[in-house]
Amino acid sequence: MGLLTEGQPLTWDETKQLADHVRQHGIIQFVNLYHQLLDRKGDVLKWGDEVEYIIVKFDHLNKTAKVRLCAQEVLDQLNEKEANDPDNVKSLWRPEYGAYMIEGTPGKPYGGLLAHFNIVEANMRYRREEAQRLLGPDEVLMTITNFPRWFQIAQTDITKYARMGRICVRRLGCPEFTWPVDEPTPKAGVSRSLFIPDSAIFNGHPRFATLTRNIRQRRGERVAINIPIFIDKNTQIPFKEDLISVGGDTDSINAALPNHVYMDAMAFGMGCCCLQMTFQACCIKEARTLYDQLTPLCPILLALTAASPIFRGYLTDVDCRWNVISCSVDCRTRQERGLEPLTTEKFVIPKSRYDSTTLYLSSEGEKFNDVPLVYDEQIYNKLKNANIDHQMAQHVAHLFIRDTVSLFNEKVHQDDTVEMDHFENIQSTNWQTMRFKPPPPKSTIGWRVEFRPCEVQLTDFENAAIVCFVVLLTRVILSYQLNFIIPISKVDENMSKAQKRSAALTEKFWFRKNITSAFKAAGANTTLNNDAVYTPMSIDEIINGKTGEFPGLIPLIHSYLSSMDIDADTHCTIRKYLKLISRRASGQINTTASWIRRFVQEHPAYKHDSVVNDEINYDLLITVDGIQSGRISCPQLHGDCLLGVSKTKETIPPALQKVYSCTP
Amino acid sequence: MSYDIPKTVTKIYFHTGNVMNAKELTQKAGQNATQEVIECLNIYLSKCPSPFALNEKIIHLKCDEFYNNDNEKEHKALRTSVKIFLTSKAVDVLKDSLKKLFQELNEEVIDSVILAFNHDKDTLLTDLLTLWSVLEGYVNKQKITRLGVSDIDTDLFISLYQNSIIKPTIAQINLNSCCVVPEALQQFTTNNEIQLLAHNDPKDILLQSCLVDIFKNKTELKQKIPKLEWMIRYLTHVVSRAIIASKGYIVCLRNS
Repeated sequence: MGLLTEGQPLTWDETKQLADHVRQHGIIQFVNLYHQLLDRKGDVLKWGDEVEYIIVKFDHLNKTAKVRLCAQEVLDQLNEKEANDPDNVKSLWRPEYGAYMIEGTPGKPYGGLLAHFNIVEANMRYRREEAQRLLGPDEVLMTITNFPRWFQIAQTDITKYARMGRICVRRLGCPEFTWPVDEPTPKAGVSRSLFIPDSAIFNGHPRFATLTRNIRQRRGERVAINIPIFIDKNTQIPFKEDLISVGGDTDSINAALPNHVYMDAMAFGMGCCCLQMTFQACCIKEARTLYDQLTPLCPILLALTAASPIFRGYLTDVDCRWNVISCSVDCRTRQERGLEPLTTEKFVIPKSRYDSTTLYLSSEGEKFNDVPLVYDEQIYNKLKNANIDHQMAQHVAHLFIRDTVSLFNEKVHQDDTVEMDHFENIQSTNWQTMRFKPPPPKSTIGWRVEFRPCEVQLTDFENAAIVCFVVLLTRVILSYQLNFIIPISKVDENMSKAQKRSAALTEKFWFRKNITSAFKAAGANTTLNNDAVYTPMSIDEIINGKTGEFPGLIPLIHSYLSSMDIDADTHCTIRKYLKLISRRASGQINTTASWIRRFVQEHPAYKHDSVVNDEINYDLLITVDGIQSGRISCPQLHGDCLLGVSKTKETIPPALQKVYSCTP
Repeated sequence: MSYDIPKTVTKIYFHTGNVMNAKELTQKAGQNATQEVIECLNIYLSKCPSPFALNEKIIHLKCDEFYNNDNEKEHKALRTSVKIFLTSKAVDVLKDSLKKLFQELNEEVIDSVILAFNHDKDTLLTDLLTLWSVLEGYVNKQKITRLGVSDIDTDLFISLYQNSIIKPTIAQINLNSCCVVPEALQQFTTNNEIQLLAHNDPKDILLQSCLVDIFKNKTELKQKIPKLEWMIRYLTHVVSRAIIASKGYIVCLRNS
């Protein structure tokens, strides 16, 4: 989840004192780097995926599934391999927020040959098997966006044991969902959550706990996440949990909304798994173009990859993790959130640090920046004076309205001509749908763009399909010079639509009507709110096309592929991936979220009261394990694109290596 | 204003220019080579080109608006591959197509040329080798780097490989309907480090019935609809970035 700096974390008070120091030096660092690398050109396509995993421990006797807090031991072993042979490992492993999570990436980035699309799935499979081998007999590595059954207050237990006193009730009402079992500490520690113990946070690196503490302290109260509950025929209405029974105070009681699932810790969001990809552009201009062109696709891919309908043991009315994470790291004070008049703070800030992008960066996008941008004028002027253009200066000055929320003693004083830590400190805690990444200092890496909205899917096949689809789209955009830009306010509207239950099937999204109106030819007579620019479309129409009106992203990819020299095996694999995505979009097969929802609703132990109990949780995760390993086939999720039959390979075939003089 | 191609014409060369610039084509995404060429011809013929001199025998048609390639900056990283669709085994036809290819593209070196011609069980190796030797000539002159063939019977491919001086390094097969590669071909290509590429070009690249549809409203030509002699598709890619820089078709029609 971003930069991992080693060292001793400062307290929040110390960090706060240094907020301006970090900002000022971060800007100097950016300016220096920008001018050094502005003219960097000719970089080839390199790209990579990031998959996040959770580790689940099953108890087959009692039919329960828990998150296994063992990431550190597993990572120690995985990282040892990398330390011993950094140039030849096939995978790289990094910690993530949860003590039950790990993040895996390919050992080397993929390159610009189509044949690289055919090794993605094999590499994902390798990663899964590599980490799985280090787990205990009842432990399984899973790519599920959200562990469904975090702490749930057991309603019946509370009435039954009410007489026995609060402490006792809390213990009895608290299902064990971590292994080793631990209890939340609402009055102490970094999260102070009613539901999640601090031991669920990865403690192998101080960054995660420090972020948690500082975000809560900066905000002045616990984070508050309220997700509408899915109201089924037996759901208790109004749905309101007895927070006092689990040690809730006035803050939590005020923060919890009726008919919502209330969550109060960073772990509920940052403990989710996502699927991300990063591409290297040939130059800064191309990076800015890709950043802008992919921005309107973020909500579309979020809806299509939706995979998290259950939060804290309840079926909810949303299908995605996005808002949960957004609220889980919302460090804005009451003044910044506009709840109190501005007295001590500088800005009212409309969005959390984790949210959608608010600014296009390319000249084509400029006039579609119709959302008022909050940015630091002093910083903006500094950047402008340093000869950085208006949009880029706005972009950086917008990122830099945030305070640092994690600072390490050893990193306070830096040489701004060679180091980038202060810039990265702010950049890497702006978790937006897209990230514009300058080249790291003194490296061979170029300007890059990161695509961050996707939810992780249950199988390597599906994850590879999503990754290849997005990377292929970037090639199609550049080859045909497509233009997807719509007013950024419409992209924000799409982001909230995308998260609704069954959005992929039922919602209409704003989408650009004419995507072949070239970058340059955006004529002066097309105004922003002209209906001619955008129109509501279903995901099916966007992905598969609408005769006579919109070509569709998959037909465009097919056009592209038929104009490439593509080897037979890669061709077959990509066709399977596109088939999967096409059918998800048309509703012929389920999104992951719809499938999970259906699994719960059809489960005999489900009482139509929105509750996902231990037994359903266990059966769901056992089934997921069966599906990801190929033991269970799941036509509802995959159609006839059967798993394990793509022609994915571990390496690039020799005949291609020879022609393109590349290494596998 | 409608115009006519004079009926004195015996040969029509049609060059689409870079169809990556043709918004009409992008809008109709997912079309195959045949559909794209027909589309281009129709777009061209619906507009008004410069007038033809009377009694002209050979005419060149070009979609001017699709030119304007902005590729020069990246010239070093570009690589062009070509597929030639032949309608006969006549050596002169292949020679004509190659001559035109280098004229139209203005390229020093073509990276790869793939030969496609309809053949049946009786197609003789000697016919193929005669065509092949024309291509080998270009390789020897370092005008073409690599050669390949499309949709060829596995045994014939192996014979070609064994009997040619410049070996084919590409075998292209149609995989549009399924993913099954003939086992023998798979093995032979793997063992000899031959690229096995997929395509989705129709078997008959431009049927006479399509040409009838295109030319039936041209008063001068409708009595005698021209026939396809050869067709070329060229693709220029930005190497290592998987981007298409340009794509176009050159078609030769004969009116004998």
